[in-house]
Amino acid sequence: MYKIYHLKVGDKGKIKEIKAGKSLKHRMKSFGLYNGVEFEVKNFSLGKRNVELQVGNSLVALRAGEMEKIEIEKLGEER
Amino acid sequence: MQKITAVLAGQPNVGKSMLINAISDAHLKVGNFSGVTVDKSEVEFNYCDEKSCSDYEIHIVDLPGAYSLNNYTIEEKVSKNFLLHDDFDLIVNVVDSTNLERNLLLTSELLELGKKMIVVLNMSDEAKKEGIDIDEKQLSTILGVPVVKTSAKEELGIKELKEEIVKVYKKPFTNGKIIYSDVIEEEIENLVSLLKVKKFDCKVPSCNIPLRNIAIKLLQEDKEIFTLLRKEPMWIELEPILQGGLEHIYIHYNTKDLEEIFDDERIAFARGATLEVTKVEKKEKKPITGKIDDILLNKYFGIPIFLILMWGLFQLTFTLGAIPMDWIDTFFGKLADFSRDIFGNGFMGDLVADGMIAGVGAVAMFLPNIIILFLGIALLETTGYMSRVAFLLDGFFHKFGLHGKSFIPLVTGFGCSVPAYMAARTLKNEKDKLLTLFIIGFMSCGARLPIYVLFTGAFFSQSQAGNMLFLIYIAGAILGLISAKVLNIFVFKGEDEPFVMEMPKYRLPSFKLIYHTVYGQAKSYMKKAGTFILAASMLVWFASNYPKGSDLENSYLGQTGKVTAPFFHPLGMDWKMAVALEAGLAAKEVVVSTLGVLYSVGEVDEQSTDLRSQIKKNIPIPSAIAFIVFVMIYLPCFAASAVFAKEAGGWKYLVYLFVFTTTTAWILSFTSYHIAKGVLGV
Repeated sequence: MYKIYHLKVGDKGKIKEIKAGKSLKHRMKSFGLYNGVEFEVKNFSLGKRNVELQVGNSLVALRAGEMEKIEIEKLGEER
Repeated sequence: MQKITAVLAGQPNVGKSMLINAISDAHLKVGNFSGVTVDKSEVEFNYCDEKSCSDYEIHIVDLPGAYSLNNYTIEEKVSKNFLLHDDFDLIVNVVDSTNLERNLLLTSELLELGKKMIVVLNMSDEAKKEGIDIDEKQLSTILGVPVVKTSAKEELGIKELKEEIVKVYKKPFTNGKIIYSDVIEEEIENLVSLLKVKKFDCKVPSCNIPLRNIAIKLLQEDKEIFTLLRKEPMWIELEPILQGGLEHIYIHYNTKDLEEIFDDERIAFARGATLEVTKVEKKEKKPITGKIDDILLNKYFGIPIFLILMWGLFQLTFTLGAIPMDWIDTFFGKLADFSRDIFGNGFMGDLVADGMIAGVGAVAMFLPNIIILFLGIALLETTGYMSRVAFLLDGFFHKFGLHGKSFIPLVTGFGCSVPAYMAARTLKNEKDKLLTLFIIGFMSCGARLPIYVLFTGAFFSQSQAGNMLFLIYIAGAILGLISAKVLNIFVFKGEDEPFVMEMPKYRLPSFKLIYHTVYGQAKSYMKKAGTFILAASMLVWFASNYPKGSDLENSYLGQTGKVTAPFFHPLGMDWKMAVALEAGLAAKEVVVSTLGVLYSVGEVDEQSTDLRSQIKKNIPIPSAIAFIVFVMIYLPCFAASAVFAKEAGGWKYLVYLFVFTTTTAWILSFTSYHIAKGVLGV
């Protein structure tokens, strides 16, 4: 099962499923994070405790706890 | 003259405040939404056309930024509440042109409210630079409401926006056109036709909207609409249609979560609309924000760079700030002398000079600090760096239940708690903010330094005293973090607030915007703290000088000290130390001077060798340690307490803080007294 913290800076991924409660799910949606969305990892903080993602035209930051709730697939594996 | 009320609604970082400044900065009023510490800016001006300026008065209310109307943050709650329950004529929805798709999610929620609306494509200059071209006419056709392109920064399109506001106000209402998928549209149609047949009419603001919007809200299981409609006789006929409709929708979507269904509908709508109206010219250049982030968010350099910036800010705050502080001090000193010349040395003279002027002076003294610090914070926020700070430090602070943004208020607390409490405003989440507010006091402020200097100097050699001082500060900070953890587990219980945060683009700060922010904060500090402090300092003055002709020992304050002495007795303290601590509730600066009076060495400061030797002679080391521990933890001062109550959102929080800090202070003081006694064998 791939999670965002398995990726490296510069990697691209696609959201497969968000396993979160109603309100967090909605919150993520209002930031453009929902199933099928593609993103790029821009930066990790120390120990991958936080991540900065490029989603569409905006940058969104998440904590490890939120990364845990998002199942992703890695894009461009073959590269 | 007709009055038009427009509300400015939009997501955070779309340039709303800049837009309201560009529309009219002459009469900008900054206040709070009732009951919460969320800023509310309003502006009123006369609309001028070719003929005259007296036909319309436009009143614009700026709502706090909200990503969606889902009650997630306090800002979202305030915005939603205002949009549903307040009286206004139209919504001006401000949208970031460079981020249309995500912004349209909120737009589609706003369209569901069934009010007159204008969509403003702000930051159109930036979009142009990024090669994004939006066809506003087509967008207007899709949304069914007028669309205006603006750039608040370049002051483009502002006149057109004002014209559009008047135009929309004059025109009859036409419904915005968010189109859902066929299944939902079908059910909306069924409900609308029944409502139409029954000639449903509602006068309450939250349901005085088009029938289509009532139908949508019914399908979304909106509680308010349900309560209102259930009272109607036609509910009997409405209910089966609604039930059937919902079943139909559930089958189609394979879920019964209506929120999710409508979220997905809005996402599809926003995505479709964006695709249809935008043309993106591919630019090869890496955007500037990404480049800056590569440096500022660097795993190794990010935190050091931030610490250097912070160090610079604090140097400025407390060194540059010290210069005007001296002037203010001198000024109020002169003013006090002057008032004595007028009122004489009697009751009135004392009251005005020692009670009122000294009290207000103490508040005004902090003003330079506050202005410089807030200038710095406003710069961090408007440039977009504040979010990066949160990102960098969140990993560490989250371990204690705090947020990355807690860092700035906490560090400010080492200087002075007053601006620190105010700096906690940058925390948007209620729990994060309260938790931070509660532990700011543990960061020993500058005013406690004289007490530490006096006591460490009395009991330790010159070389050791410095280490002890350092130890006191570090111990305070560690204690603060531990308390945060404890409060997080036992008091502010519940699941951790998620951390989903936008990293706004880096932007050059706007002078106008920063000026308004800093000016507003300085003014509110002077007004709120000023009035309360005036009363409190008069009270303290009275308590320490009366009954008439008594010295401090026999004054009301001294008597209180004696009465409360049993409370301090288990900590190894006598009534003199109790009085000093109680006087310290007003301001920590008073503690040293009170001790001076009580040990009758006259006027003293912390360097006084007389007082030092008196203290060494009269106070055993364990009691002195207990005293220092108590000073480290209990309430900072009146000024800070007043500001705390305001920022936390009520006086009840000050009561909690008082109980929490005093209990902690007492317990730790008691423990350290007995440990010291055991270790030293006295």
